Amino acid sequence: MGEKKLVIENVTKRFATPKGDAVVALENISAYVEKSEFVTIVGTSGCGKSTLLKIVAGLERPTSGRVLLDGRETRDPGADRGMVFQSYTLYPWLTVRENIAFGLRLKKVSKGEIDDIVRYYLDKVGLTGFDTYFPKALSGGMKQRVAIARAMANNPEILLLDEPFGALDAQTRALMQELLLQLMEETRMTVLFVTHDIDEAIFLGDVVYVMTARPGRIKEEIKVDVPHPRSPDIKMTPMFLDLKKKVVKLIREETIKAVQQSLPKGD
Amino acid sequence: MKNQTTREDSSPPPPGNGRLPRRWTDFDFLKPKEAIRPRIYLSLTTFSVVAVLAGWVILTYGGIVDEMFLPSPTAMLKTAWHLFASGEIYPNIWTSLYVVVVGFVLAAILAVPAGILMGSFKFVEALIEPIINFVRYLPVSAMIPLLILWIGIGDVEKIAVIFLGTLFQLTFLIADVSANVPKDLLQVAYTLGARKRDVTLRVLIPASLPGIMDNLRITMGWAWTYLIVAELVSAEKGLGYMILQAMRGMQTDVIFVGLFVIGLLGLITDQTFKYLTIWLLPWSEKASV
Ligand SMILES: Nc1ncnc2c1ncn2[C@@H]1O[C@H](COP(=O)(O)OP(=O)(O)OP(=O)(O)O)[C@@H](O)[C@H]1O
Ligand SMILES: [Mg+2]
Repeated sequence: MGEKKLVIENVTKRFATPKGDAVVALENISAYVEKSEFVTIVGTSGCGKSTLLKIVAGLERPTSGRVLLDGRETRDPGADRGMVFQSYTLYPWLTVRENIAFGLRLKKVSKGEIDDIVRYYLDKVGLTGFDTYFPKALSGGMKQRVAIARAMANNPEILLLDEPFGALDAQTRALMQELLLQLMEETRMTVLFVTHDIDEAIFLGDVVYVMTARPGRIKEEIKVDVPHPRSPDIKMTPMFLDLKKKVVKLIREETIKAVQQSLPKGD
Repeated sequence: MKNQTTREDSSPPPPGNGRLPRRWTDFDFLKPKEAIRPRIYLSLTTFSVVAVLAGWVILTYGGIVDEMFLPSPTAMLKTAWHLFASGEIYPNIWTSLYVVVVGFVLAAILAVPAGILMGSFKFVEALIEPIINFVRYLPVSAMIPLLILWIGIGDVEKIAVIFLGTLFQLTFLIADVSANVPKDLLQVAYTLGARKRDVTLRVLIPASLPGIMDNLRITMGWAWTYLIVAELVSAEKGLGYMILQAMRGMQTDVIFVGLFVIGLLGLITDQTFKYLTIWLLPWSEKASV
């Protein structure tokens, strides 16, 4: 068994609403990611996935509980936890190259070294030749690939991804999943990836955590025993389909609960 | 099962074959945001300009309106030639231009940082928002008498009018721009190792620039209006002053030349801002010709 890189320990998050009462977004979440492991979290819309990742990144504080990276508690954001957001977050005023170099320049890495790193990751995400483009000239899939390259160029301890392919069409999304998986198999980076897409969660994850509807809790932890490198063909294997059936059932229960929660209560 | 040919035959070709409408008849006037052929666009533009000119020609040469109220095109051209050839108009243009530019630049120098701070930092917002929201509803034209009492009727007073007229509006508009910079854009910087200072200087400010340019462009238009109002109230020089003098002398032709020059100067400043955006912020969505 590998060492635990990231540990989420009994994290609860409550938001105060303008009315004064509290929304419980996350309740007592515990999970961990081992070194070089790809862990996915799957849950219905609004169950608190983004909130959880922001807490791990240090962008939000948990109401209670804590997050440990390499055994040390983290409270503030830092370059050791790189993040790719659900929305497009490339800086429009920087070229592709400058976007990828953003974190490196903050770290005062030498220019020659930056050039090498940028070239390496541009190649890895298949965007060699696009280095002088501004983000406005890129498609959604290309933007997210640059965002992944930008986060990885910083060489973080763990990569956090918040539904990075959520806004893409099904075909592009499938290609991006393969590209990301390949990239992680090569670099052995530790990843925590949240999504509402069950196929995506199982295809990418070594471990899949299934979350409940709001308040988000961990409903089940499922190990995906498929060796790497994985090909997209595994999506058709009986084993994959069995896992999928299981997760679909769990998520379905939660979605029904979430819909019922949102209906007006009769008396 | 039907084959390809029958299916094609049964459906009428879409109007215009999916290309831009070619003729007036397949030009869909009432479909919102529908593109039209450049030639038709240009024809319509030419038409409206020609129509206005034709109206002017008919009204004046046709003797329908007295020369006293509306000078004829030739009369106006003659006056314009005289004003420019004699050099009489230049001091007026320079004075107006100088006052507008100085007043506006001073306001911008203060409003841009103040707006960014107010939109980004809650403590600054708490400090200055109530004041700004009160003052920006005071019409600056109503403050002209007070400014004359305080400063007199020189250029400085007019600069103060432009300055006060645009400062508060601009601050408010720029605060809105920087408040609307997506929070994710700031947060991603922290996950890349940025500190608060980096986030402000390297993310918040560049992200606000296109909106700032936009609002400078809009407020510059207002600055011209304030200037002319100020010059109509009291002045010794300037385009507004020239127009007022012309009214006293019943010189409608001079009034029209004055109006035309003001319009032209406004158009030039506006285009300057447009090309400045294309030149300085080529990455912005707004930087298109
Ligand atoms: N700043 C906030 N203030 C109040 N409530 C919040 C805040 N942020 C999130 N919430 C609430 O917490 C819950 C979880 O939100 P979150 O964005 O984490 O969900 P999600 O699983 O990422 O959803 P999606 O699939 O739509 O991205 C939601 O009910 C949301 O309304
Ligand atoms: Mg989310």
